[in-house]
Amino acid sequence: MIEFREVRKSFGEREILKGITFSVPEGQILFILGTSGTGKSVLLKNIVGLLQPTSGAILIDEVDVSQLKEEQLFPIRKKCGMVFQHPALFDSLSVFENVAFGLRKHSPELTEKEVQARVRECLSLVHLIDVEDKMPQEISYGMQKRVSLARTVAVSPRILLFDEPTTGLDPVTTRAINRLIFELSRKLKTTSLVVSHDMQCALEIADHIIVLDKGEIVDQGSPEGLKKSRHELTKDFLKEALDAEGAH
Amino acid sequence: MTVVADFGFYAWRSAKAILSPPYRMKDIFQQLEFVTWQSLPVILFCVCFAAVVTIIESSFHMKIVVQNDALVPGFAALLILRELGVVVSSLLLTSRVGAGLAAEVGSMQVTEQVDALRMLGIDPVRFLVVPRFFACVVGGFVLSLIANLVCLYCAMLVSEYKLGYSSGAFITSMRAFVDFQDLVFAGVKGACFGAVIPLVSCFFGFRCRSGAEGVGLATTNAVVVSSVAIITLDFVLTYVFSHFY
Amino acid sequence: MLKALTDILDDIGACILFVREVVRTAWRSPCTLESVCEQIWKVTLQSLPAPAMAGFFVGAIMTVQFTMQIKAFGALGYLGGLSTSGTVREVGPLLIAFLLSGKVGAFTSAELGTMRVTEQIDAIRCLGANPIQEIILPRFLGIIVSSFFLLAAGLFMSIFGGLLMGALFSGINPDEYLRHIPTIVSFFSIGNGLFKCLVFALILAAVCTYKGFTATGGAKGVGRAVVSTAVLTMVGIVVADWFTSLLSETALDMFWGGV
Repeated sequence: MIEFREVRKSFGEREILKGITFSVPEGQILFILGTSGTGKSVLLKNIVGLLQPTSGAILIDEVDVSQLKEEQLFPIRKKCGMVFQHPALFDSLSVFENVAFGLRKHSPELTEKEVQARVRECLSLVHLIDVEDKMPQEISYGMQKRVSLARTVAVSPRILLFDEPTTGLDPVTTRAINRLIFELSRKLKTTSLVVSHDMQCALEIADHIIVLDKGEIVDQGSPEGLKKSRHELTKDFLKEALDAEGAH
Repeated sequence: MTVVADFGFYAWRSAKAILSPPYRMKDIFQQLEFVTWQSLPVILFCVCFAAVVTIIESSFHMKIVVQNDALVPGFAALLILRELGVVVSSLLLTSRVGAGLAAEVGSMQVTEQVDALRMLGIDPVRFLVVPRFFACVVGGFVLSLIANLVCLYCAMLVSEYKLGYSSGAFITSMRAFVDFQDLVFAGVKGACFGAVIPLVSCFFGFRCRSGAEGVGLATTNAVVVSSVAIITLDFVLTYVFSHFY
Repeated sequence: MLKALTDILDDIGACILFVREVVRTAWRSPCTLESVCEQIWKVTLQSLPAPAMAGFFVGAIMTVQFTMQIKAFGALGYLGGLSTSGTVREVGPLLIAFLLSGKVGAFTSAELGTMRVTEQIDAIRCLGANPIQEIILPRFLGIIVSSFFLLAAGLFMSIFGGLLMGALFSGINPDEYLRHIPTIVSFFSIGNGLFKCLVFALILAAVCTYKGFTATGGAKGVGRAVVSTAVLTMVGIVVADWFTSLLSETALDMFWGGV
């Protein structure tokens, strides 16, 4: 479904990604873990052409997206839904308009009634009710995150990309969002790619985990397999996750 | 140097987007309201003061050169119509609208709203720059006309009160110096300056780096570069228009 | 529309109160001369090109405009004097100050605003220091001095701009242009122009430190502070322009009985 072949990306002199190769089969949830500044978000943005790799190929459904032009990327982006690190809600539009925005753009044939029904359906998928007429700045940060999720799934993407979905959230909301990612991926049968530094979340819902350090893949495996890993960074992540588990 | 190259590329993209209909009229009118109506009080307030100063200063000059102030109205009207009215109102527009746009687009950039637009297959240049461009061009034109007329009217009142001209005498003296075409040129200048503001401001907004510092820097750059561009463009336009007299 | 005006009046009042606070701090616990000089150096150096360029073009524009008019009266010889006088006395200070309100004003309020929203100012307070004394006062004084210099430099450049266009556009040779400057531009005019610059510098310093220091609300707040700095400074400058013109006219009448 998604395949990376020797992808490199540098900004000026600094090489952020140093030859990344991996693939995600259809319907799986892949977690990419790493400390801050290891190029996780850059990797994600390369998939949908928000950034272009310096060399290497990224294949989505056998199409190389790394060299496409802005207009040619549109069909690819239609397949992918991206949830940004910030909620990235358009702050001049109400919650309803935010969710309906992409929907109207992608399927102009829908009537106003159908749009309304679909928006309501998506908001209920993320367990939100009665917020449609509010402005983004009037609801809490956790709720903004969920609206952002609803906006993304509204256009029924087949691939979901999450950029640090739980960063900056309290532990309770973190778990709720995490569960939501799992539910949505299974319910909508999407392939999901989650960039995060939360090992606990990864162990709970991932099918496969990749550990990234300084632009290279240093460790990977299933949650069970990774628990037995001997790599230093993985062990550090695991320790954090287990400590957090103990605290609960 | 890369900034210049980036701006060239960006300007090319904007030009393509600006020249390709359809346009979203609702957005344009919304922006027009922001640019024109909401800037009007500040601009009028400022040009009224500028008018008073112009009268005082021209009477100073006229007393030196021709020993009487019979030509003051003409001289003042000339200064207002040719330069002050449109430049003052455009520079005010830069600080209000230009800085506002840079801050708005900049914070959209750092909170990834611009990326979200691209994900939905919407060209951010087309979505953000085009309506603002049209609104600012029309707004610049209209504001320049209004500002000039109000400024002239103010100057007339002041010269009546301070120098004892009747409004008839003011207009007679004014007509000896300026023509209707001066007002048209002022409007054209306003529209050109109006075009500079959104292009430059949105450019710096798109280049905004993350954090409060980035937004501050983008806004500052937008104001400075547009102001310098406006003054430079003013020189070019003045030079070009001088061949029409 | 009415609200916009009352908002501006509100701002002006708060700004004056802030300046009172700064002056009081300067009186009771002055900052070091070193920190002021550092600010003067920094602001002057980074801002010099913009006002110099603007000054050059303003001078050039005024010459072109005056040429067209004076030609009709056959008094082209006066060009040097008239256009320099017009530039130095009014148009120059006004437009260059407008530009500085963007360059120096917006930059300072962005810098201070960033310090405010990233809680650096609170941190200074927690370390037992007075933020007004440590941060605001050096900038306040530094901006007054360096803006004054920058404005004067801009005016100086405007003479060159006028001179160049006089030669290229109007066919007045530079000697002739320069010779007529003293016939119309008296020391009083130059003093008047410089006095205007000083007042504008004061306003600029007061507004940008006030707006930056009172910024709230993250990156957006910094943007808002910068926008309102630029607008408020320009309004202040226009009003001050009127006030100083009035003042100098009155002074002229009182001491010299007109010219």
